[in-house]
Amino acid sequence: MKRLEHTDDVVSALVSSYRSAEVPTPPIDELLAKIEKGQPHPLDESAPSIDKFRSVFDTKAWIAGALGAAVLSGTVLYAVSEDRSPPVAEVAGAHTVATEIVATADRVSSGSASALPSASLPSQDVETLPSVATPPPKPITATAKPPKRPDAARAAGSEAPVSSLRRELELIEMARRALRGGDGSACLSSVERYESEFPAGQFSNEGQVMRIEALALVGSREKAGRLAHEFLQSNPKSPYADRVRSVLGRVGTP
Amino acid sequence: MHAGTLVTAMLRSQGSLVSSDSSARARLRECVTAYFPAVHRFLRGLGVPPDALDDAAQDVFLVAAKRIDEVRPGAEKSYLFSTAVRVAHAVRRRYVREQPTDDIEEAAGESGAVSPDALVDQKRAGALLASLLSGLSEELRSAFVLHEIEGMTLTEIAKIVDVPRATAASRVRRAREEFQRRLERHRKRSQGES
Repeated sequence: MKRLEHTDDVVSALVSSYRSAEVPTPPIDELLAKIEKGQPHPLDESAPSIDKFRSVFDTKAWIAGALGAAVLSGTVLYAVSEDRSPPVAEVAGAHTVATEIVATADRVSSGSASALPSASLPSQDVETLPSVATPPPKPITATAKPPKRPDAARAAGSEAPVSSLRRELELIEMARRALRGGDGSACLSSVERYESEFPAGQFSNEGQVMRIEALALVGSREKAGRLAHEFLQSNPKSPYADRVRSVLGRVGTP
Repeated sequence: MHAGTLVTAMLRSQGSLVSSDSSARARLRECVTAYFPAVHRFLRGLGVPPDALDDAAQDVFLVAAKRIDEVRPGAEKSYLFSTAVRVAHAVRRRYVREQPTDDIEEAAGESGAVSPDALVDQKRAGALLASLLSGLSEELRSAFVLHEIEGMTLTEIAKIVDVPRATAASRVRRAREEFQRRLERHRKRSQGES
């Protein structure tokens, strides 16, 4: 069903007024403190059923998506590991991914998370979440790390996919770092390189989103706007849709 | 089981499955930071009165936070919106129901031609939108806002408002018709005046 905003200029203006309306700064700490008290809320009983929103771990797409989201938001400090130690959890469908990426969190793989300093947990840095405008506080150490346990045997035949995914991640990470550092053109060339090496790569969406943001950054507003519209048309429910819309807001394309 | 480790790592980085306190807290913080503005806006779209918006937005998070760790990464926004629909319903019941107004010009400020240019004035556009939306029933209004403004698919809307997809589709269709009817009426009036 085509949206009215695409067929009617007035609706489009109304919708953009809604999207650009000012919203107060969230009282994050106050709210989190209230949440942590865990007190019952009068509306608890009207909470929606969780069933339709519950975790389902069964698709490669989801795994790639989660990984991509983590990469794009700067969460994952990755390493391609030859570690063969048993995983903490077995997840159905995971076999479809013929390789292994280890986030820094994997250091805690069989230990308890609390044994680690919390700073090393790869929880998403909120400052990096909504926009690329803020410069990073410090360079992200997102280079490929050496295997944690080099003595572990290498899985036979896994080399090709591992190195290919590793290469994909490297390029995407390179683009992301450039973007965070405010270097739009470096980001664009990394994305181009990524797309030419991996025309059907696992992170093509991440590449597209970064291209849009980088174009906006270097002042190619028109092209950024056009690509953003195209992205939203073909990926209306992408987790990046909001992010792309916010670029649209910034470049001022209706 | 390499792939298993991958998934574990990912889940941990997303703050689910492994329910360490700090990752759960981090995920919650992310959700609040990332979605508070969207939830606030959405509640306004649903017709929560301006002076009740801040509290209602907090209510959404207070209610949703209790189970957000069970929500699939990527589905947080839908879950929060689903909670918001219910919170908005409760808040609207508490307040005097908004009167659907036919006097759109009055609601939208000074009269004049309705053109995209004239609506550059955000306040005016916001008031006109609010007025047009206020003519829709609660069910149609949420369907309209979710589809036309928030850009959700029918499948997502069905989950959020907890109805079958066909019902969601029918609501969206009727809501669009009603909205367009009201907009046309407003256009004719403003053309007659200019």
